[in-house]
Amino acid sequence: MTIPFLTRLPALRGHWWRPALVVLAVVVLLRVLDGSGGTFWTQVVTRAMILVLFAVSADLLWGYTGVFTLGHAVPFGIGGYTAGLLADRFGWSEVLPLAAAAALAAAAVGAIIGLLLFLGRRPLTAIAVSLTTLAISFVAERVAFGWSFVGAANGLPGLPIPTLFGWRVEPGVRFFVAALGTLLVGLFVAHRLVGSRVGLVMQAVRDDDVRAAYLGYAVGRIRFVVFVGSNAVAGLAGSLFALHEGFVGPTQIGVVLSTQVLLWLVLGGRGVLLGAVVGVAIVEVAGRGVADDYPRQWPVILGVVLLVFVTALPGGIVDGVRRLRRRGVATRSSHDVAAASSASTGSGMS
Amino acid sequence: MTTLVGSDLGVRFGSFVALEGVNLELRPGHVTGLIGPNGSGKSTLLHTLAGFLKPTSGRVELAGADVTDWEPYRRARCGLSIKFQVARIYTNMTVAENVNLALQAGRPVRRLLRSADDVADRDRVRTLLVPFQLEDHLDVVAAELGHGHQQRLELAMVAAQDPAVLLLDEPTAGMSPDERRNVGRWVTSFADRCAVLIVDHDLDFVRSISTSITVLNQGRHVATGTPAEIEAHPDVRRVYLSHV
Repeated sequence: MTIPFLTRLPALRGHWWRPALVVLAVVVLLRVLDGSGGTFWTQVVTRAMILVLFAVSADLLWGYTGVFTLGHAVPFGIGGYTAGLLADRFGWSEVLPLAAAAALAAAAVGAIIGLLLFLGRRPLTAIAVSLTTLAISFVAERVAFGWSFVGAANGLPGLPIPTLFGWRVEPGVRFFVAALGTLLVGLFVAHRLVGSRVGLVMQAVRDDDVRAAYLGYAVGRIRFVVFVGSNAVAGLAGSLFALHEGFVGPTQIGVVLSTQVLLWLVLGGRGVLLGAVVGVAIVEVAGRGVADDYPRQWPVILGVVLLVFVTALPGGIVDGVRRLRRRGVATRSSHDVAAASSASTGSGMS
Repeated sequence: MTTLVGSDLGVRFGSFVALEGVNLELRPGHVTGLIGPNGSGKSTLLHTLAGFLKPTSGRVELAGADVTDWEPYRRARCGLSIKFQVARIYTNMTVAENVNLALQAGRPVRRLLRSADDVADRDRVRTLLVPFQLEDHLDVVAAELGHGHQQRLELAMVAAQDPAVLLLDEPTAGMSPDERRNVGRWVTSFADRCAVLIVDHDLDFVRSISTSITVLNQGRHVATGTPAEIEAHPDVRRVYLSHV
């Protein structure tokens, strides 16, 4: 059945997945805002939106610029701990300064690490960058585990509920709206960035850094700037996550989360912003039921899915769908050509 | 005025001497051909001048500045451009995007934040592509181009950089005779504006477009002169005859 007025709405025209996304968004929104949806799903979706922002920051770095970091949870955790400490120890409650401080702290640490990785006299190779960031993530997790100032293994529980211009942003519908707003702004900015000529340069650095250098691009500096920017966004996401959960702990800065964000991108697709949304939606929202029902088997299931994707669909779901669509278009075109040629043959004969 | 000077250049890989005591000067308006048998050090010299390899001895000067320790991007910003033996283009980008990347290098970030689909440069890109007969392929993804077209696209990219020094590493590899002639015509016309160094195995092609030729053998300089002088040079004859 078709609903004509719906198909005239701009958001429902064009690519087939757009209406699907809009319908999905409306369903989620209704379910979250509706009291019967309960706080549980509101919080699951809010958490997922914050993680999408985190995944987008990783995608800008890995998917678009080709810097494969195995320690992206470090800026996320630094953002979380910064917001947690400022709220817990210094009584900050306004979410905007908390998030800004978290982003700045993550960017500052990112600048120091980035300096070593990309701006040294002998810049590190790609594999050395991955291993160094992995080591940093491991060390950060161990430090968080052992340092009493940041709560050691217990982390910082019971963080106060933040406020926005004096308005309490409680976990639930209010935090959902705040997270949705932040995510939409983040996606819009990222979309404009990757669609600009800067985005073209980022992809040039990713695809062939030697050619990019001989075109006059300072490859090390570009990687450094994207690394710092990506760290800032991850720090922002980390602060929102900590404030939403009311808790920040060592797992939010460690190796597991660092690899998890890569898993979302492998599943959804890297080098395309929608991939971050799809990856997080599948693992953190759709997979939530499976994870709750089969907590022991869930990591194995994820591992097998990851293996399948890495070998059979390395571009992720979004890339797979695009390929299918292109194949469909090509098949339709060849059918059209065949039909046209048979029609012309027919008319020629008559 | 000399644009690029390599003085007493030496390159060693462990105990292997790839280049020793080689001098080379490139001047605007001149096409310098670099020839020699396989393993003579042509590509090593070209890569050393480009900054891809660091010399173990000697120095490289670009427009009067000592650029021996400069990274490739700094040399590129000073007017050095290179076309690689195997075309280094961005195969998942369109022809227009490839040329745009070359055109926009050095612009301030503020201008780069404009949409990549911005049509302002489109006419300029089309004009740049005309000598390479790619003006009708603006929106074609580079991966879909044939080998010769990809080589021409890389030439269009280096032309878009408006270089003062152009290094061409076997620019006609894999091209048809017609395409070779076109590239030769383009190199000759382009040399009015810059200094060109060309490495190619096709001696007839090098002879036809070069104003001077430098011959290397086993990493050492053998001779430099006009194509006629080089043809008659006894050492050059000996080098090539010994490899026949």
